[in-house]
Amino acid sequence: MFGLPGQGIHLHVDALSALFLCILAPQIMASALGGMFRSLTFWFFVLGMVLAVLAGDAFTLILGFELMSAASWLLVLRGDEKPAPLYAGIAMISAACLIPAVFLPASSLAFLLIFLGAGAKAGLAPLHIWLPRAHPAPPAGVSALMSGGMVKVALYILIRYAFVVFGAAAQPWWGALLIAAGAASVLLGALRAMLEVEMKTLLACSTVEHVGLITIGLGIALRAKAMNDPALAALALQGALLCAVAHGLFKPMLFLGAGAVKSATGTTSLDWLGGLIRGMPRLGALMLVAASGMAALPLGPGFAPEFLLLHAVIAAAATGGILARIGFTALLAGLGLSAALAVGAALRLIGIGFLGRPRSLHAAAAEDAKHATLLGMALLAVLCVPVSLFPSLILGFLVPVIQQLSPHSDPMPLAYAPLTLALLFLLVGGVAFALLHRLGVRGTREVVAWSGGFGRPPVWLPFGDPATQPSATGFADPVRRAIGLGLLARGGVDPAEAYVFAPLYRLHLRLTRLAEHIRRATIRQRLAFVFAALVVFLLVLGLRQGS
Amino acid sequence: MITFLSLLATLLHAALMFALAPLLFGLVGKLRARLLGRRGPPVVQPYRTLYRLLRKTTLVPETATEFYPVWPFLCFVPLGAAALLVPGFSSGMLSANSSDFITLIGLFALSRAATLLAGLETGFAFGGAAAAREVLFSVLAEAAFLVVLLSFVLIAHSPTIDGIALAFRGGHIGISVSLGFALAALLAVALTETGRIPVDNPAGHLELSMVHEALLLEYSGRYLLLFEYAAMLRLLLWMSLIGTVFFPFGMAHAVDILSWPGGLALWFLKLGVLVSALALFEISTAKMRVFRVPEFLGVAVLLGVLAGIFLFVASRIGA
Amino acid sequence: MNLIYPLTHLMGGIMLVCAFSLLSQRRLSAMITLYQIEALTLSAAAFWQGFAQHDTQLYLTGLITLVIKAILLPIGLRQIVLRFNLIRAVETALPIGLSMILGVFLIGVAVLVVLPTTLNAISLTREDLAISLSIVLLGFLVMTTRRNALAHVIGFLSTENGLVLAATGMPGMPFVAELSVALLVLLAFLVVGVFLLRIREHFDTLDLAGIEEIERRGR
Repeated sequence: MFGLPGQGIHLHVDALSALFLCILAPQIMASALGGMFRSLTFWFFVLGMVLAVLAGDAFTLILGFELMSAASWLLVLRGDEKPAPLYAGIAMISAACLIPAVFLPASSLAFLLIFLGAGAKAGLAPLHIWLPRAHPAPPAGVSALMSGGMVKVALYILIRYAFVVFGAAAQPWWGALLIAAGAASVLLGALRAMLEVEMKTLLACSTVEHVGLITIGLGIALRAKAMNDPALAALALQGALLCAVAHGLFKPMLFLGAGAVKSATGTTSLDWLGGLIRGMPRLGALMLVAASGMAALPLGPGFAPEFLLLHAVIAAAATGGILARIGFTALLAGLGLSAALAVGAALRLIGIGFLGRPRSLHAAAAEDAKHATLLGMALLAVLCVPVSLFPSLILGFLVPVIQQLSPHSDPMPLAYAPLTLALLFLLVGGVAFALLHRLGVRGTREVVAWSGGFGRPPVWLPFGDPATQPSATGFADPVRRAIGLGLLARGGVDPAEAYVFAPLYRLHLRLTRLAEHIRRATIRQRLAFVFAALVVFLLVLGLRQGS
Repeated sequence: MITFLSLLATLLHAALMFALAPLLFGLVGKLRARLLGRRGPPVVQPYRTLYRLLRKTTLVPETATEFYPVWPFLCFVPLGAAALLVPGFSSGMLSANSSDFITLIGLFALSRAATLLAGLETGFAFGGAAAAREVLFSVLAEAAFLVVLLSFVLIAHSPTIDGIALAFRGGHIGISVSLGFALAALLAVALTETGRIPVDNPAGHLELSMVHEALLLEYSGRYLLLFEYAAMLRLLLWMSLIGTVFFPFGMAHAVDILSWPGGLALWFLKLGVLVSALALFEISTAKMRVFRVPEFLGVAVLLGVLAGIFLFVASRIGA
Repeated sequence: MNLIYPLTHLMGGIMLVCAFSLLSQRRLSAMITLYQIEALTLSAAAFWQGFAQHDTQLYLTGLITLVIKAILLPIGLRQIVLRFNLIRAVETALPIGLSMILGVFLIGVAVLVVLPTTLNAISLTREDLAISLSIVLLGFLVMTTRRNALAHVIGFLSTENGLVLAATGMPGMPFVAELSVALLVLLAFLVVGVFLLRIREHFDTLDLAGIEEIERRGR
């Protein structure tokens, strides 16, 4: 019915596409529960993603991918008109790169086009600047699916082509390219997540970081595969795929939570929130779980992938020439920096937004989210439990995928044992609690906060003066001054914007002016153009025949 | 029998870690005071402080949320777990296999995150300002810690602390320039993480300049006890870690009970040396301004990178 | 025999750490202390090499280093700091963080230069040569990133230390070492002398602004 004439649409499920379907399914359910199930465009968006993942031939893949782009563009447009043109432009660039690439034979050029096309859609630096603008625009359910699902579909295409379709032609530098782009995304994403004030923008920046982490894992695996090191490839793939699974769970949760905050208070700016956990205790608890994943703290869903990726980088530093090794050392420093920045960003989200005192009356009067949203988030939170506590189980499910991507590799068991750790925690915590309860003075007394001796606020300020509380901007200020000034361009702008997009925009302007000149040429000048073209053509022909 | 012995060693280690942490704190304070020509508090003062906190009523600020009592436990428990993972007097404890270095970094990060949330909890200015600074320090400290780890793992071919200690004790590694750089970097990280003097003053009383202490201003009674005890445990943990990795000489084997007394004696000796070094260092330098600390830690990160570079130079690899 | 390599390494490493830390210091007195530690380590390295290679000339080098570089020069430099009241932090031309990253980059360059040329040598000489070259480059970096003439002198002296370290490490090159020591003493005193004279010529109040004023005139 659809598809190329005489061929139709081919669907095909193998281990890789099954994995990505499993990543997509819970998010789609959560987003639908989060209030999107009535929107037809949303279901077209979902259809596009599923079609792209299930595609058995290049045409179906492109069809699904473009359906996904178009539907999400409509959804972005419905939320906010400002970022929509940028989003459409990036979508066109990625289509313009992908469509020729999927029909090319396996070669470095085809890989580069796939990398550009899928990378632009996944939000890899330096083509990531649309992501923090477009992802927060639509309603929360769509934001959740865009951040958790759509970037995964782009990464799926990258994996599918780099490892499977072009697998035989892989070169080590393909991996190095992925690692470099991933490292830039991780650093910029983590830093901007720490600095942004809008909750949803912050989450989108954190998505850039996680996409970067996954890409670093993929890059190490691709490089190791091309260099015949299946053990390292398996380790890196474990990290990358587990990161994709975990990110697909906690990021939609965070976006849904941000949407609930927006509908309860009318804003997502951290500078106007605070103390939300009093009005929204259930949402706060769910956000705490999700934030522990975003921060990659032990016993959270994000730690096992981070653990594997760091080990993969360390193992990769023992391979290759000295330049590559020094590069991996620097990469590890960058990863450490961004891991701690991610912790900072998550702390800021919880500590400024949900703890402390309300910074506005809206925040003080917030009420808990709708049951359907909470249910969607709870679904994802329940799925986080196996990823947090039994990552070995999930890694067991990943084995066929890893063997499909990198044959002859035999994944090692995970050295991080969260269950043992959880038992230790219970033991230590239980003993400490029992001792304190047994020996200490019991009970608590509620008093005015000490606050350096400033005492009780006046009656007409029920939560004290909001201005005496550190703001989100102020909380990020030390990091901005010490690290942001070095890494970001002048004025705190993303360097990709200042050094890649602004020059491109200027070039575009100049070319437009040139075209305008040509358009305004007189008839005589146009005749001269045609004549000159003819002469050049003849000249080339003559020279080629002469030689 | 062998498992029983390692269990016994683990239990002895845990008991010593938890019991000695306040004593170590007291020793540093006493030694510092003596070096400055003062008499100083008695060595057992930290125990008294903890006991006093135990007997005090716990005050909860009105603006605190339901999570107020959670953070002290979340700060202490990861460190308590880490205390079982970092080997002290003996290697080959029951926890040897799960003592992966990155897990340890994660545990430290979790404990720090809980402390920071405690600072943001009541929404008062000093806690928030201190938390912002602490985030900045932690960013660079974690980078330095990870890079140093790279050299360890590549030299020892093992990611666990126990394995690294075993490999370094083997002696065939010799004194390597890389390890010298790594030691310098790790010391800077340790001083930052434990909040000692060039970064933060543990005895400071001015809220504006405090970092670790300002986070806990709103806590009292048994919750404050947990935070204080966690700080003491953190110092002991870091000293044991540095002693284990850089001076692994004479560590006992858990399965060989006859080697325990020697291992214990040497562990105490190492801790004593590190305590004296810390006290000496603390009286000879002043606290830095907040925005000098990133430079201090930046040096640590770069030294860690240098450790890696010279490691690659020493092993014969072409360009 | 077993201890020779590790100890030489260790001393080279300490010197490199000193040279690297020079970059991160703002106060002249701290820079002088670091330089002093570096020179002390260098003389220890020279003594150790003399012992290891059974070469009396290296003992002489060590002695000269110890007396002149580790004792006399720092005393002189401290005198200058005290007399001209340069106790406060000096301004740097580049941000400290950037100059340190540049420093690591330079060390990387040194490693890359040394590696291909010494692929067949034993690993000790490779590491030692890499360290020496790094110290030399870091010294130059100190000279280029400081606005203060005294800091320039310290950077120059550190460069000289790197050269001497390379010379002591190579068997059969002791004369170069002494030659460079002699050259160093001459040059350093020349520079310091010129510095003193120019300051005396131009200013009565001798503070930082004065030094920078000289620089501006020099340009």
